[in-house]
Amino acid sequence: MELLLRLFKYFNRRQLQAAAQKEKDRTPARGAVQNTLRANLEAIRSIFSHAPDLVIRSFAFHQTGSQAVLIYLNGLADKNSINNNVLYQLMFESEDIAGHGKRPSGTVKMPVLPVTLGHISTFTGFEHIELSILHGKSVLFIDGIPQAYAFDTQGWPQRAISDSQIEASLKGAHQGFIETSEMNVALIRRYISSRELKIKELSVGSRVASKVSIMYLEDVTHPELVAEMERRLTSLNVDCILNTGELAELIEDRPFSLLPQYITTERPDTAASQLLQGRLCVVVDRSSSVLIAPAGIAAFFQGIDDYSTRWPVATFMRLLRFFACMLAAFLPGIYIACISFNHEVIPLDLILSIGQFRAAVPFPPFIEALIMEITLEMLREAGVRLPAPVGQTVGIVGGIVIGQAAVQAGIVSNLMVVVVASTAVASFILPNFDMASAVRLIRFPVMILASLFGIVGIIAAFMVLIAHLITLTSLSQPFTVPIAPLRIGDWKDVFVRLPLWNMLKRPESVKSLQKIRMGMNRTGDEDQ
Amino acid sequence: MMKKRICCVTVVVSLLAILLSGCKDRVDLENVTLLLMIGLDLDENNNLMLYSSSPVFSREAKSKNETTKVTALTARDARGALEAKVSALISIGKLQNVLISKRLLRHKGWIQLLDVLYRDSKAGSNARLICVDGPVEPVMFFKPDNKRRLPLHVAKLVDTAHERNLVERSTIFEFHRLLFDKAITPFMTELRLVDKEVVLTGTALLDNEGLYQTVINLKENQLLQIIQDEQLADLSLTLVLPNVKHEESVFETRAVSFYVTEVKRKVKVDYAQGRFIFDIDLDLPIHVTELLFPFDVIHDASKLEALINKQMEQKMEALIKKMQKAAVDPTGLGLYARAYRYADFKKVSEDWEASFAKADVKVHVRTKVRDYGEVRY
Repeated sequence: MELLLRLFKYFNRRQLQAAAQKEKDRTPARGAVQNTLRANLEAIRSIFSHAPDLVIRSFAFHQTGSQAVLIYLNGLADKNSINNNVLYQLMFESEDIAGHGKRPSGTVKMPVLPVTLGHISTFTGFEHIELSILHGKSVLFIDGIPQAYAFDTQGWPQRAISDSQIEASLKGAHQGFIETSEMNVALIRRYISSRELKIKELSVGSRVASKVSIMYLEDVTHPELVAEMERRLTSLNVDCILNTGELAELIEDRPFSLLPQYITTERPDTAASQLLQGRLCVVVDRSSSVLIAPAGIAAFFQGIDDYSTRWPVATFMRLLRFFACMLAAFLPGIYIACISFNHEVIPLDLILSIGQFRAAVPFPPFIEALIMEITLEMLREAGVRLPAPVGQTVGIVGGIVIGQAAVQAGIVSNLMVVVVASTAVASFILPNFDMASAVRLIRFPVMILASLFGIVGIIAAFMVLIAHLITLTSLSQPFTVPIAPLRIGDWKDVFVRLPLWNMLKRPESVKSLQKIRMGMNRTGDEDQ
Repeated sequence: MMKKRICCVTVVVSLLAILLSGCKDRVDLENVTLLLMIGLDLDENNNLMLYSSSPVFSREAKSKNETTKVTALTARDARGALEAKVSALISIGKLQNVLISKRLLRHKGWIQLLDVLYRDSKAGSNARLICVDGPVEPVMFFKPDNKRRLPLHVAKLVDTAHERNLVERSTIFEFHRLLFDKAITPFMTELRLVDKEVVLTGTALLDNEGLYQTVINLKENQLLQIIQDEQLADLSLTLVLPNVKHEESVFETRAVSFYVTEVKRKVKVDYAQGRFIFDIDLDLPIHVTELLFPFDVIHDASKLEALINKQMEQKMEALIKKMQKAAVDPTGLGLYARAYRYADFKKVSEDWEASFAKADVKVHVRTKVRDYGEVRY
């Protein structure tokens, strides 16, 4: 299997390299800002041809009386702030607000703009100007001045901050990430308002650059992790990153594994909690989920609610999730193995009733299980795609028709329905969607092996799975870390959730620089 | 490039080929005839008869159980004949009972008939061995309409009766141990068909070659289990105390019933003048549940205890005499002899039953009334 993967990888890399070479034909905007406004406008027009949403507003710059032009993309810029803070000021304010006493050097006198905005940047190259306009900034050209000013007037339509649908929580915060990375960074900063929270901004994508920010706690996160993540992100050569899932797929360690190797979350509190444990998170612009690395297997079984409920309850839920995970992956396989090969292990009374149900079913157990499993997956997928009221109808129709009628029609047996239903319920228990999907998929090879070899096949599947898990890495760190490279100290928060006052240290498995989580852990704390 | 693709295809094909070979031993449950009970008997000409009883899974079948009879050389040899008769493939993985007629048990070498059950790793080793007093055939074909299917009914019957200490039970697994241990002789549950009912009659005691020697009834079995120190649920005993005055009545008025909740047994082994001497001390806390004669238990408990002790000692000694006469030792006293008097045991180990028959077994019972219920007299 490993050999096959290697081969696939090899071909893939070949193709990517070939694609990268073609990429170079596309040239970015070149050139520097000219002295005359007309030349600049012509350059802009040639860059943005066929762009009816480009607004070019010319006016007289009040301060010097020269001609000026403000350019922005309609819809990406906030009209309010352009009108009130930029245009009005430039057209009517005469006073040189900050210009007194300080004269900029050079042959051309640079005017100090009376714009009341927080962030103004100046550019001389058109490639930056192009990007600024595309990112929703408004750019000002003044006749006679060989540079352009970019104002922070971004204001595109964005969603209100709402509860995450996919990671709903009962007692946690009801804020989810949205599609603007500045906002997402702010949401995380709200949880960790500490100067040690560092952000490394990178841009990924050769056609459309996406802003990607690596966030980490400087004194906690191991620098090796940050460096590795940065290396992976900068070595990417893709057209465009549309969301975090794509990014994760491009930078994961094992692209052919069924299992997710990064945690993606839509919850700022989850992200903050992982940051505090010493992991780093990657915020991708235009995506409402955040990538957390390195991921350990335990994190996929931890829900944020675990920490806001009482610890014995949370422990019970944890154990339930691990049990459910095993159930979801292996129950149909075990059913098939018991019916087809190892009926000796079924208790006698059960065997007699199963025998009666099975006698009416014309298909072998594997086909029977496959019919039900595929029907169930179809129902699930249909329910996701359809609007809520119709989705419910699908659920009910599916449940009744498949559950009842199929048994009466003799297509599947009663027990199979029970097995499939409990498997489905079990797979929905897992708090992480990616992991739940992976477990759902693992079920099928297990079923095939079970139908060929019985319990031996299940054991083989289990061993392969374990072997795969322990060789899996996330950001070059072992995936099964507190379990497979054994870190007993971290077990306080894996299968059980011990009281928080018991977890004095950050998880060893993350290799954090600073181990102590409780008590004085910042330099200078002693003085206060 | 081409070479690698060929390599890929070869790997996939060989993997598939490996996988496909697995399908061979697959048998789906509905295609299995689960033998739940088999019966072994001899006909008039001493031919081996083998009976099987198994559930029928089909909805169309009116009867949910099928019983078949075949003549065979050995137990395994019967399989072919059975496969030709029963509805699907035979499996003995869920075997519950093995019925063996008393007549067959008296023939030397019958043990070899079980060989297939021991040798086949998929055979259910928890099947109960049951001796049938009388021919096996009527029991196998017996269809009570107020009970579950017979194999399950018999299994449950044996288990519950054993739980109440009324019969001994040996599964084929335990039987193997009993048979091969020189210091103990095997036993098995005995049943018979009486007036359209399957009744457990007691425990058949076999000698070390597995030959049938004698049977003890349900009451004797309770005492045997006390001696074995293997009482499971609370033992309920009813004794008639001959020293108490018999009222003029058709009913027995001298009876006392009590629970024995716990057995504390101490066994002392000695060897003198060529025979073993066993001293069995039994401490039995008892709970009186029934007392048919007036008696002041509060003040005269020790008197009652003494009466019970004497009666129980008598009964136990009678039981031991019976076993000694039949030259069987299911008590496990031989284990004590081997443990504490190995040198002496070793000399007689080849024929322990004979030494046990000669042995002097003394039983001392010390009961203690713990509870006599809600009434005083």
